[in-house]
Amino acid sequence: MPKISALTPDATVTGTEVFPIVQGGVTKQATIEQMTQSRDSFCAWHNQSNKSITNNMIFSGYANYSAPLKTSPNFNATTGIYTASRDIRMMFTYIGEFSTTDRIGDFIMRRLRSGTEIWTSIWAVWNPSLATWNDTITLNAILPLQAGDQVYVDTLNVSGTVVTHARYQFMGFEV
Amino acid sequence: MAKISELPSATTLDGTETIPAMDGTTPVSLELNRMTEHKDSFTMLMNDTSYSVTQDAIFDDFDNMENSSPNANLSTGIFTVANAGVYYFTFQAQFETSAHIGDVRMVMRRSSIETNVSIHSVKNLTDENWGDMYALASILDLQVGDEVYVKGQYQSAGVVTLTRAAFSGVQL
Repeated sequence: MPKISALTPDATVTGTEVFPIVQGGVTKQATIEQMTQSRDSFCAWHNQSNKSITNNMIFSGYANYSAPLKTSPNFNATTGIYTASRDIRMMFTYIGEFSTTDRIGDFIMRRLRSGTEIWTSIWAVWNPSLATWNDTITLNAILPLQAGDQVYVDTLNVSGTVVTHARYQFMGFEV
Repeated sequence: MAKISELPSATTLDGTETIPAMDGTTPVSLELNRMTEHKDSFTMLMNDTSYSVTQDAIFDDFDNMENSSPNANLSTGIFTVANAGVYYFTFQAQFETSAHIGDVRMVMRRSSIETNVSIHSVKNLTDENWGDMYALASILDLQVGDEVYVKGQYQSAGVVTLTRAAFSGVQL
């Protein structure tokens, strides 16, 4: 990041720096932010055969969570939980694809704050008629978060089943 | 965008404005860039009633670009990274076909090596003619020259009677 003292004429400044600007004898301060460095984002996905789906199960164990996929210290791929490190507004997306002969139940994106969960997005996943079927769900939510808030996707109204194939992704970026 | 002449103390600036600053006795022209105004983005669209699919082929020959970028190629269906950074990509499609399509995957290619970054299977289960819709998405930390596109896997050659697709990307 170039310092103000090292600027050449017509230089474009990136990075974050607070510097004084003097105009008309009045000193003012301007902050320049390099947004790509300060904005949080992550993306993880998982691919598994014969996966058990149980009630109140957080989707976790994302096996694919490394470059070029964007990683963040605030998302735990093992637990499947994003934890806000500061007050932040995030756009979250969950995409799931499941092959099964059974009804599964509901998938819910939740926000946990001070021990209380709220629903932010919900989609039922179930087998309407086919002997073997495939279903795709997408959950989306833009959430204003406080430091310490947690966001994850789990299940509801599930009696327990095994899907023959599961693919699911969880991602988010600051907006 | 705030004008420099209207700034109170300790203001945070964004937007683009060239302002004079002083470094000793040397005037310095300082440009403030709001990064979102300079970030790459595109959306390419397809609405085709006779689209041929073959094994391992890239989804190409899009019809038009709703949000154009010189780095997104309608003909090849490939986005090439010109500015290193974090990007968000989505691909949504609807198919109607009696052919077997197989898997559709979003791929990042770097130095001729492909990495799958999102996969979805598209299956014809019981109906002779059927429709399916699906979505791919990914957030990627990319380098200059990296390529991102969507391609098939495990297909049998066939013709899709209706393909509606949108491939989008934006630098975050």
